[in-house]
Amino acid sequence: MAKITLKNLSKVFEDGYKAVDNLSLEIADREFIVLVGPSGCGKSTTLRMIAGLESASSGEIYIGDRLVNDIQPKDRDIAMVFQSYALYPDKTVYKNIAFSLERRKTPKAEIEKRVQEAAKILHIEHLLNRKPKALSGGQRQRVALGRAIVRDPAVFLFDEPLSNLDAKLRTQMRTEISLLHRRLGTTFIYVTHDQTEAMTMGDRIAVMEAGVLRQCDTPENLYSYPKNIFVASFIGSPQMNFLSCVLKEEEGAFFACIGSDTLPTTRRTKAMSAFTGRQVTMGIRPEDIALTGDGTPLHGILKVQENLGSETYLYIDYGGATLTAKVSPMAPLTPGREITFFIRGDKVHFFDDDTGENISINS
Amino acid sequence: MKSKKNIIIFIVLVILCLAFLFPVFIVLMNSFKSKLFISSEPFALPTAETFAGLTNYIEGLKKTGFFSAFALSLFITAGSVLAIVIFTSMTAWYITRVKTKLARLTYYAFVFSMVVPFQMVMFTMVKAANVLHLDSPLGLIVIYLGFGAGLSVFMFSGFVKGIPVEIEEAAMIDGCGPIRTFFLVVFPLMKPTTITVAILNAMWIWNDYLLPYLVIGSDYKTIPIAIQYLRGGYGSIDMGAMMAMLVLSILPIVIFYLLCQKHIIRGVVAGAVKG
Amino acid sequence: MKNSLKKYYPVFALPTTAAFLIAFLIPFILGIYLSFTRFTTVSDAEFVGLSNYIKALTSREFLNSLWFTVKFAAVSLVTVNLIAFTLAMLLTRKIKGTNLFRTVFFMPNLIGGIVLGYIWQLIINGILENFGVTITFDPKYGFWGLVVLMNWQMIGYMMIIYIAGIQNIPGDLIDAARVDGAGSWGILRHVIIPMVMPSITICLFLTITNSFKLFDANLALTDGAPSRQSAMLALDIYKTFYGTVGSQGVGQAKAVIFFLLLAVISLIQLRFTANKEVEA
Repeated sequence: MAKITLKNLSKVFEDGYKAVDNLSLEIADREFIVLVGPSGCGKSTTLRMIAGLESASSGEIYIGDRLVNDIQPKDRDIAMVFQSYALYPDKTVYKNIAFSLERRKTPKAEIEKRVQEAAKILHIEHLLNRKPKALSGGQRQRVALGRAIVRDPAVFLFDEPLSNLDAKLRTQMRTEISLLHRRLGTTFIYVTHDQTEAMTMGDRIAVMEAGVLRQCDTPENLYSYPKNIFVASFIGSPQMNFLSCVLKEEEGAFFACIGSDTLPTTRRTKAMSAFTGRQVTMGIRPEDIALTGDGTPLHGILKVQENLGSETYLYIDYGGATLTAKVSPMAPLTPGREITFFIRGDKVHFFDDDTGENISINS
Repeated sequence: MKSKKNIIIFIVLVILCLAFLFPVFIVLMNSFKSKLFISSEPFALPTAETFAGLTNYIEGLKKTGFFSAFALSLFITAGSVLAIVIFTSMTAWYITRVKTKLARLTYYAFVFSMVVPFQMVMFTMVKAANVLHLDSPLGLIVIYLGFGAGLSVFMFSGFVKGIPVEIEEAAMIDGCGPIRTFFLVVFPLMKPTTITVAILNAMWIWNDYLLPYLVIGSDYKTIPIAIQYLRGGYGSIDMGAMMAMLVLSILPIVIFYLLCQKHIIRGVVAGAVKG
Repeated sequence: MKNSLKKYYPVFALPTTAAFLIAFLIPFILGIYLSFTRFTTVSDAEFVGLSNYIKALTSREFLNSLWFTVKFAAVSLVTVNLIAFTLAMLLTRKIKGTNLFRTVFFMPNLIGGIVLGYIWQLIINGILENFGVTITFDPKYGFWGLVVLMNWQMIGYMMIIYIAGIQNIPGDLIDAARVDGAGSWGILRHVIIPMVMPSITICLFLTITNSFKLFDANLALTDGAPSRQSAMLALDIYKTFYGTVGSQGVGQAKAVIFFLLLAVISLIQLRFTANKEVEA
């Protein structure tokens, strides 16, 4: 129905700021794709170009097979949910939802039917006669969704729709939007700066940084096979740990030398051979650091221990760097004491210090 | 102790209030006195000898053509306020949203015009009105739109800056072009400023004397022109007619004021604080 | 979106801009040009350099009206604001009938200058009657007449602004000052006045500009009599244009000076309010 193709899309603002740089991306029909990245990475600008609220400086945007670069937002068959909800403050909820249908000269009875339907899906039937001012944040969010779904558009665009909600409501709406996607079977493009939102909602996630698409893949692949140090650090919470080390190769096996410690790894790629003897950055996920194991024992100083109930975070000072370890719940240890830990050599990543590329996975 | 103090304050306020109403009362009272007794003893209540009934009103209406002046004032004020509200709100939205150099320059020109006193452009504006055949009640509306644009554009622009652009973008996606976006979404949001702008301009235009006098004064009379005419036209002033006409010109203002007091006061404060 | 809106200049901006050009911008620029010329009908303008300005600045009438206006503005500034502020203080004490008082005090502000002028002419002449003179006998009668008139018209207006300012002071602040041992006078000096400083700035400048621009009431009350001695700047300019044949150029030069005066006042006000915003 509506796959979306972005070809070499760039946006340079009038003041010369390059918000999006040569972005190419294919979004399949019915896919739920999340654009994620820190603020200023160009994700919102990309979304706004798809919506037609911002014109592309160069490149092409296709919705379905139609080139839409010069088509007005209202004619692109899209619906958009804004961060601030952008409800019409002077109009009732019903009027807000019906507004786009009225513009399209939909018969009154049909409007009534579709508004009621949307209201039912979103559980806001009882609010239809209220003004936005009289609604809570969560209710406004639902109205904004309602305004989008009555349209039955080919594509749904979401611009950080949950940022203004409190944590509990955010989790709840996350689930509801996922359910909505399954129910409507429409293409969803969702922008957020929150990697948890991205990981839990997207079929695929496009990670952007400084206007450039760094990687686009499924959540699992992004997590396990980050293509570069930016994606590795952005995805995952707590963040991946990074240590400087020197790569060594002996009889076909690789070792990471960190200070006086030598850590064997089962990673082995052609790229790594080229870095033998050179300094690289090693990345370790917090859950790949354990207090028991059979590899090389490493020694550090325990700084802080955080017990979250289901798991425990340990912050370990290791040769001046702080490592975060995620371990099973355990009794409190004494901070400031030496601690022995192990790094899973089969799960570590190595990154080129110059380009940030992951050299330990085969692309 | 506090309540005692408050009673004294209350009494002081009542006295002050009466003092504020006193001038209007004097005029009202004198409007029923025969014209010969007005100047000589203005503070005396009408007696059987000095009471003139409605003579002054009848005289005044005849001399000034008050009703047609009233109609003309109403037409010019209503027409100008309508034109100002619609056109300046559109302009304000446009120049705030379109960030071109020309738009910014236009904005500054409007703001600048707020500083300029009428006397600065008095002569040349009247000339321009003559040359362009704007020396008619309808033309006067154009003049008021142009001369009143500064404050109104300024106030509307201030309001537009506070409207989230996202609302307008939502309207664009919902199927509106710029014109519909403005009239269906933006304009209804501007209501508080619209009321303020309407009231400030209505007060100014309704009471304005010099501009209409110079532009259309030779053929038409608004209320202030008609009142001034009572003095200008007839060597010595007919005080009776004058009093009656003063009462008639204050009356509609007072009625209007009592009807929409809240809006007027709020509008005037908003105008002062922002202007 | 911005691009598509840009094309709508003729719909959104043209009507206002065109009217603005006709009624303001062209007359303004033409006015500046004409102030350097001798003219009676614009088309016969003939360049005379600064001579209009020299004539204006050496004209007794102009200097007299300037002094009259400055004095008037100064006196009105003090009286209007003192009384208005006092009334505002009294009307924010939750006394019975506050709304009615406010309504009455503000009412004169809606009455136009011409009507105001004739109302006060009647009353002042009525009082002077006892001394066998009228308001046009001596410019000082006209002066005080205008001051009273200005007070009657502006007090309610300024009072409303002060009330808004006073009501914006958080009650906690006054309570805190009271706990700290401040008496009513101390609260006024150290809490209320500093907190309503923005309102005070607005009111002071509003009174000054309104005093400077006063025209209608001046025309109706005294018409400048005796012999233009009670004419304020605006009225003097008007009379120079339309009262004396062949002096339009001088009138225009006076108007430019008048404009510059008001521009300077506005600039000072801008500085003041800008500073205040930084502090807030």
